[in-house]
Formats: sequence, structure tokens, C-alpha cells
Amino acid sequence: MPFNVVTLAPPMPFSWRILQVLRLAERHGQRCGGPVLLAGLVLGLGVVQLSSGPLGQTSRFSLELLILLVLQLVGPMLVTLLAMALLLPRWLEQDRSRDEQAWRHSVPAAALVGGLLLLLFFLAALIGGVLASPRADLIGEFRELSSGVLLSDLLRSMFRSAFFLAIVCVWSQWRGYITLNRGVSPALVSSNLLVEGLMLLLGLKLLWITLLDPLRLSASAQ
Amino acid sequence: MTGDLNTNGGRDQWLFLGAGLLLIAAVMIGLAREQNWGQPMVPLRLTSRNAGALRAGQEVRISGLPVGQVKSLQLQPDASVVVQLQVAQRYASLIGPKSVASQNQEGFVGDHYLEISADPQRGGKGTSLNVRSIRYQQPIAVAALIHQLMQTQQDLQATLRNTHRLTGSDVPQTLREARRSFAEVNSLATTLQRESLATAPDLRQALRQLSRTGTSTEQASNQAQQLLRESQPLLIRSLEDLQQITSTSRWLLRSLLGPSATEEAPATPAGP
Repeated sequence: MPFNVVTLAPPMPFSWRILQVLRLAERHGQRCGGPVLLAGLVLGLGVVQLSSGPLGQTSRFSLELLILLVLQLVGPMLVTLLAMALLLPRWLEQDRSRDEQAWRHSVPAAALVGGLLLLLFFLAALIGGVLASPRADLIGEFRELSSGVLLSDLLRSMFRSAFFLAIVCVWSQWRGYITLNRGVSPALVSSNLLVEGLMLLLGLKLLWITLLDPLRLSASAQ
Repeated sequence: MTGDLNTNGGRDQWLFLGAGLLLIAAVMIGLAREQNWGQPMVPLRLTSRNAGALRAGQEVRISGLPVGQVKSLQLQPDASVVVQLQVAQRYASLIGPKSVASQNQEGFVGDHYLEISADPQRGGKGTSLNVRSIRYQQPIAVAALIHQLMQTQQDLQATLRNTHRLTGSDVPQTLREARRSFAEVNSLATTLQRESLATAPDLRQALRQLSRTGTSTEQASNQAQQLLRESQPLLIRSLEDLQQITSTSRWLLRSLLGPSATEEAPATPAGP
């Protein structure tokens, strides 16, 4: 009777696992960085132009409104949505390789990428907003704005974005692993997961702002 | 997973993570520089009846230059608001017992900030550290001011409406009536002039006649008085004679009537 020889792979060292997570985060971040920067720039330009143009608000108020929007309302959700759309094929590719331990790397990498992407998005939106403001002293305006941004708000938004993207990554990999094993075509799985991820993201956002961190509707991000 | 990890061919490019770390460092340095992290600060507090435009993170300025910021606002049980400030320690000596905090704004549409009037302390050290609470001058209630302005505007508009109505209807009507009165007065004056011109000679003649008549009457009156004075003694004497005749006649009548009547002797008439 032949023996089934099961060869157990030696456990990965922690430092090697960290390195793998960092490599994955680097790769995913490079994929998402450009679109997120562009989205932040466009959002900043649009909001400040709209606020200081047709709505007739001051440039300072427009920029504070932009900070409030990015940090409190649309930033984490938009970044997570973009990252999900861009990274979903890669998560599914990991599922197709039948690697059950893939989430051990992809989820921390997604969290790391989510936080850094929000920082990129925030800075791009600020640069876009300052460029679109009618005030001539752009450097001075940027410095005044940075004096009003609370680090706790920025860190909270980065954490929220990291949390959202990590949860969406877990959901997508789990659902993708199950549906791909059933023989469903990857294109259909990808389409379904986009919708499911969007719903999950909206639900998470709703839970966050109602239970964990209600929106602070102050006029300024300060 | 492995394919995803090994696409780099063993050569790592830490572009995203490196840029992210650099950005985090830059943001931290920028925030620290602009928000004065690590700089020794002096806590201050003030009490306001209304938080108004105060908010956490707002700049605190002395002589127009930023020296700190508003840290927090707390609503008290008596509905007042306690505002916690932080001022850089090197500028704390500019704040003294006479310092007053007030709301201010850059231009008409600029940012609001908290201005503290300077009260430099001698020596520049130590004394300001004892100042824990400073006075706060409440800003002008813009809403109440606008309300008063609106009320004043309404009163002014009512006055203008009344003036307009007065000048639009009453004054012309008064002028018309005055003009009509003047015309009537003019007509009356014309009539009077015409009548006076017509009646003046007659009137003058009548007055002369009246004057003459008066003179004649006066002369007649004088003559009558003189005549009366002259005839008065004769008249008195005539009356006395008449009285004597009357007495004599009565005695005669009584004598004729009977002896009973004779007992009454006739009164001897008094001498003339």
C-alpha cells in the first residue's frame, strides 16, 4: 500500500512574511497610486472651483470644505472603491492559484495600501484645491491650511480607509475562492464581486458613520 | 500569489512604499512646523457667554501675529462656554492682567481669529505664567444689529412713504386750496376795490353831511341846554304856582262838598 507522503512546508519566518506583505503592498500601491492621485487632483479642483465660483465662497472656506469632504465623507470610500476596482483581478488571480493562505499577505497589504492611498489622495486633493483657489499666495495658503489640519483626523481617515480596503479584500478573496471553485467564469465572478464589494463598502460606511465615528458637521476640518 | 510576488524577478522597487513613507514624514514635519509641535506653550482660559465664531484650532494673535491657538471649548452647567487657549511661552510675557481677548477677522471675508490685546510685563518672565484667565470682550451680535437695522429701515421706509404720500397728494391739494383761496381773496379784493371806488364819493359826501349834521346837532344840543338852563327858574316857579292852585282848588272843592270837609282848613299856600 503506497504511502501518501505529505510534505509539510516549513513555517515562514516572520520577517520573510513581512517582506512578502511589503512587496505585495508595493505592487498593489504602484497599480493604484496613479488613478488615486488623479482622482484626488480632480476632486480638489472641482470642489474648490465649484465652491469659490458659482457658490461664491471664499478660497479658505472652499479649502476647508474640501478637507472636510476628503477626510470625513468621500475620501476613504472613494479610495477603497478605486483600489477595489483596480485590485480585484489580482485578488482573483490569487484565488485561482488555490492558495488558501493568500489572505495572510493580501489583507495586511491591502490595509497598508489603503492607508497610504488615502494620504496620497488627500495631498493630491489639497494641491488641486490650492491650485484652483483664486488666491495668489499658494504656498502661504497651503501652510495656513496645514496649520488647521488635525493629525488625529488624518490618522482616523487613513485607518478607516485601511480598514475598509482590508475588509473588502477579505470579502472578495473569500467569495472569489468559493465561486471560482464552483467553476463560475472569472469575468462573471469579477463583475459580481464588484457589485458585492460596492454594497459592502456602502454598508461599512453607513455602520462607521452611525455607530463608530459619527460625522462631525463642523464648518471646518479643524 | 507567488506569481504576483515574483513578477519583479527578485529585484524590488520600493517606489510606492518609499514615496508613502516620504509623504508621511513630510506631512508630519509640515504639521509639526505649522502647528508648533514640541514648543512650550502656556495654557490660558477665558469664559464667554456665547461660543459664536470660536472654534478649536483657531489662531490666537497678539498685535496681528499668530502666537497660539484655541484648544477646546466646553459648555458649562450655567450655559457659559469655557475656552482653553495655548500661547507660546516666549510670547506669554506679552499677556498681562489688562489683556482682553476679542474676536477679529481678516478683512470683511477673511478668517476669524482671537486677538489678545498686549499688556507687556516687566522682566518678560514669570509674571505671565500666573495669568490663567483673561477677560473676553463679546463680539457685536451681528444678528441683533441686522435686526435693528431692518427695524430702522422699516421705520425709514414708513417715513418715506408718508412723506411721499404727503408730497404726492396732500401738498398739491393744499397748494390747490391755497391757490383757490388766493384767487377768491383776489376776487374779493377786486370787488372791494371796485365797490370802494364806486361808493367812495357818496360815502365821503355822506360822511361830510354826517359831520355837518353832527355839528348842527351839537349846536342844537348846546342851545337846548342853554335854553333849559335859562327856563329852569321860571319853570320851577310855574310849578310852585301850579301846586298852590291845586291846593286852593282842592280846598274849594271840599268846602263845596260839605261841612265835614270844612273842618279841614285849607293849607295856606307858602309864599312864592
